[in-house]
Amino acid sequence: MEVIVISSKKNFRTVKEINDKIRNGDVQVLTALEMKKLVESSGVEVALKEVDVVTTGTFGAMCSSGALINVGHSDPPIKIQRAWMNDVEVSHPGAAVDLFIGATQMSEEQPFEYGGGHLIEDLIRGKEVELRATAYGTDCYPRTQIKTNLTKDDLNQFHLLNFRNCYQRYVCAVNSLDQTLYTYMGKLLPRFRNANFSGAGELNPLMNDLTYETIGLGTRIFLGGAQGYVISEGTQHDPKNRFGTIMVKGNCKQMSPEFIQGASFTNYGTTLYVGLGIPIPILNKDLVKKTAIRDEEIYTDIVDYGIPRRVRPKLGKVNYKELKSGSIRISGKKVKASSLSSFKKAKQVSELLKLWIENQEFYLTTPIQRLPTDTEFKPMKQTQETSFVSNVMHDAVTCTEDEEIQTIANRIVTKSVNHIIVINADKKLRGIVTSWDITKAMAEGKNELSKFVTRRVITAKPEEPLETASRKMAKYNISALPVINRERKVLGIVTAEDVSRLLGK
Amino acid sequence: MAKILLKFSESLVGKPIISQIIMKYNVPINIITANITSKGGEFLAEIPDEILVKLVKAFRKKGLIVTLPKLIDIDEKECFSCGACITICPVEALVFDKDFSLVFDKEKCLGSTCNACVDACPAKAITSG
Ligand code: SF4
Ligand code: SF4
Repeated sequence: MEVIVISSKKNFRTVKEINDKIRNGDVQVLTALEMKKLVESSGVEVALKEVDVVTTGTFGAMCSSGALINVGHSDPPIKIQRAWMNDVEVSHPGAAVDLFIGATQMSEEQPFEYGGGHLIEDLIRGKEVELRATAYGTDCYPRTQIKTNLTKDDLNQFHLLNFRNCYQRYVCAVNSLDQTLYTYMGKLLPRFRNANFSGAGELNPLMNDLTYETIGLGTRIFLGGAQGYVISEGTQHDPKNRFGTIMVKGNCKQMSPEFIQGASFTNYGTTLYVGLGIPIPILNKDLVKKTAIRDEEIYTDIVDYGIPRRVRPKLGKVNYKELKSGSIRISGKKVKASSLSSFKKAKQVSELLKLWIENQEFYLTTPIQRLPTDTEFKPMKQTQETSFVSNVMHDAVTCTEDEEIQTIANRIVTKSVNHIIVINADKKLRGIVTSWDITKAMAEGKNELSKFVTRRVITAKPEEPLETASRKMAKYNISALPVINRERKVLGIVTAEDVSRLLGK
Repeated sequence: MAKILLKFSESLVGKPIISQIIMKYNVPINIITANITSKGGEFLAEIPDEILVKLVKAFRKKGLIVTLPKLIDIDEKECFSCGACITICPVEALVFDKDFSLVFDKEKCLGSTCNACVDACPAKAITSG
């Protein structure tokens, strides 16, 4: 019998040999966590001899997920133009009755609470969902509307098709602003009072094979509690910066709601939590070393989400060991840290995948084509200019707390402004007063500024997009924001007039 | 203003705990009802929201049992133990055990006077107090 040797001769074992061992029931599988311990206690050589496969896992919010479904033809037939399932608009990317449920698409009735992610979960749970569709009608597809109830059994195909999953690692998010932010990195408390991170660290599938030696097109994986496949690198795959991603598919009809869960981030929107695991065949010494990677070797940036820009300010580096310990240090200060992804579930994924392989329910594959290691993630080419606070801010008229009310009133008149920013000797922000406050104070005979100054001031940073500043003013119903730097020094002011002049709002 | 119920045992009767705390934090505490015997007693008090967390901690440190209005509820079936709620909690009522499973300590929770964790949960597993 002719044996085709695919892997190079430096390899200690082949995927085919591993699959034979699975068939014979004597395969040795460790989870990535167990592997790290073994390598630490017994060394690389022993681990190479003893271990055939290492299983990995992750369970986190993966927004670029969705499901491709085919609902079958009605009688008379319809060429769907727009469709909703449980009030979530689903897109119609193909011919007549193929639909795509996007995880982040929100329900029209209950936005931010129910969305595509929940819809996919409900279908997987076997629940009945309502499909509503409209069409313009053609000679071959005369129908213009339809309403029906469906379960997953009524669908011809129900495939999870996630175009970006399993980020190798993710940044750690904090918030420098005075108000709480609700982001895709969760609820970020003001003034660095918490830090949110995501990702399984040393258990993450792509982290355990950093050069994607064994991962690529055709790699069989654990996906949502069923077997799925890697079909490509994911969108935004950025291997050089260790932000690798994969595109995956799997059959939703076989998946389990334990590992596919709809979720929603307050004021951000809905998403899908996905459980994903990749088995790493231990073909050679290199792969032993790669799967031995520890949390303390995996670093990520601490990023200030208070600045809503593409490149947000980085405040330092932190490793996953520190992150998982529950607190990190930012400029010497202790900050509580917690995860948005579930490490407990990630472990369960790796353990279940191990069990499948031991029980001869899962065989390994050799990728047809490995994931690229040299692609770049380019930013958007923008053909229109964006404005920032720094483009329109101007000098602020200021006062200090010990000044006479009359002096401040005179300044309002001579400078013809509506807002006076109260600063201290270091030019740091202490409060704000408006011309109305001053008029009222004078009428009431108050002569101490401290009695009526507004202390809780909503502010802007110079690098903030003008759009964001404008949204803040609308939200708090105010007409100006002092512009301050990180040390809270007043740099200027931006007013609603400045914004409307530029944005035409 | 938030209402809290303060219970103390026999051993604490006669100790000027409340006045000590009023002086230390320089805050008005409004006693709505009081029921004290030689065997212990309880107060229903009103406290400004801004200082609630600090005062509850201080009372508990002095040995008083502090009961708060309705607590939050976590649906264990929905919770996937991500931990997003942990850093939000001002009193460490939400923590991980060593297996990274979420543990909720009812004794510490500030309930409906806080509710800060509710909108931080992506699984929407937490019902407000
Ligand atoms: S309600 Fe407040 S105190 Fe209670 S668990 Fe949630 S965050 Fe903690
Ligand atoms: S945020 Fe929600 S899902 Fe995550 S650990 Fe807390 S209760 Fe559980």
